[in-house]
Amino acid sequence: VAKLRKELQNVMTEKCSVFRIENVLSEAADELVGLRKRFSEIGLQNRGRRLNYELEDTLELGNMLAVSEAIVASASARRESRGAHYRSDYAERDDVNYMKHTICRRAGGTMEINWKPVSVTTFQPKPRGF
Amino acid sequence: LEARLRHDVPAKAEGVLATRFKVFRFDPATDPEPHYDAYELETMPRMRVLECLNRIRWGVDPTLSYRMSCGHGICGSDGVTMNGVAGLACQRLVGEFEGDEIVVEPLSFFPVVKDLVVDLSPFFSRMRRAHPEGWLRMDPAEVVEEARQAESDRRAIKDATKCIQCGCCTASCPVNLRDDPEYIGPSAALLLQRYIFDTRTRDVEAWVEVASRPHGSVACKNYFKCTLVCPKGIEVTKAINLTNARIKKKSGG
Repeated sequence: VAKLRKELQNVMTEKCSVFRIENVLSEAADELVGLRKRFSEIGLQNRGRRLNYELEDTLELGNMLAVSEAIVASASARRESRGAHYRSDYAERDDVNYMKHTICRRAGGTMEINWKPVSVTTFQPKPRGF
Repeated sequence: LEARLRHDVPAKAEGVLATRFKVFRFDPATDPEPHYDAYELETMPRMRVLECLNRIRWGVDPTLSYRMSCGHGICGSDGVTMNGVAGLACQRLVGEFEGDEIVVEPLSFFPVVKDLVVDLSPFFSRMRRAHPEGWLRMDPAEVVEEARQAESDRRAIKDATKCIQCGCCTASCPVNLRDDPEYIGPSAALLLQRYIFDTRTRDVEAWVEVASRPHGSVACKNYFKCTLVCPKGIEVTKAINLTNARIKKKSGG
């Protein structure tokens, strides 16, 4: 469990961190498939029913994997840069195509991406220059 | 203590050490008696004890139970006894300990749930006992204005607000352990000082009344153990004495 978690953390830090590029993201997605497979074959040594932190770590790792898969799939689908999501291959903000929320679902073995319109209220969104 | 918290002065120099962790193991559901397991680890003087426990659980023995959350002295989850002294495993460095063995045990005073995990409800029930009845009750019709406080007034309670309620003080206090187990404990007594000396407190006397009860702050006997072990470096005993001096003065003693 600890080894898989470390590997997952490394993949996400190295390939899906602040600066994101298409081909690196797809490498990350491939590695997540491998990690997911190994996770499905994981076994526990601690069979205790009380304060079993190995079990807790395992459940946590499962959730971390699911979130990572959603992040990588969503980041690949959003071919623009916005806020903390910076695509080195699409450096500009694109309000025409991506002024919308990402909805990510697991469908069978793949991640399915849908979009939901943004309702603009008090604050008009605009690019921020620094 | 300041130096210890700044991690300036590990007793040992740099380099790789071989450290033996003798860890208290007990599952009240299955074990008739507690026992100790020894784990040999390659360590470095600046490694934290918590990191060593993680290495044991993640790589050597996944059945070991201990609490942790933030891992850097904010949450107060990993209070344990190390070589007989209570503290946070995430703050104590391997290099601070004499010799090459560190004995890790659960906090004293509290019942053991499993291994290093204790049941802290006796601690939190004491914290609740320190609050006067209805202390937060407010008339909904009342207009609440921002409760401002001058910097100079805040100074009187600043130290007490640093408490993270880890329970290390109560687990080390000879009054709790021996003289008067019902004592609300240093942490709860510190909380009383915090409200009694806060210029914004409405009903100071209600807090003073709690402090004056038989097992309240007045049960403190100045052992100073709380001040010695406090992971946040709070001068707990000094604060408790402020409250007790106020009570004594008022009763004309």
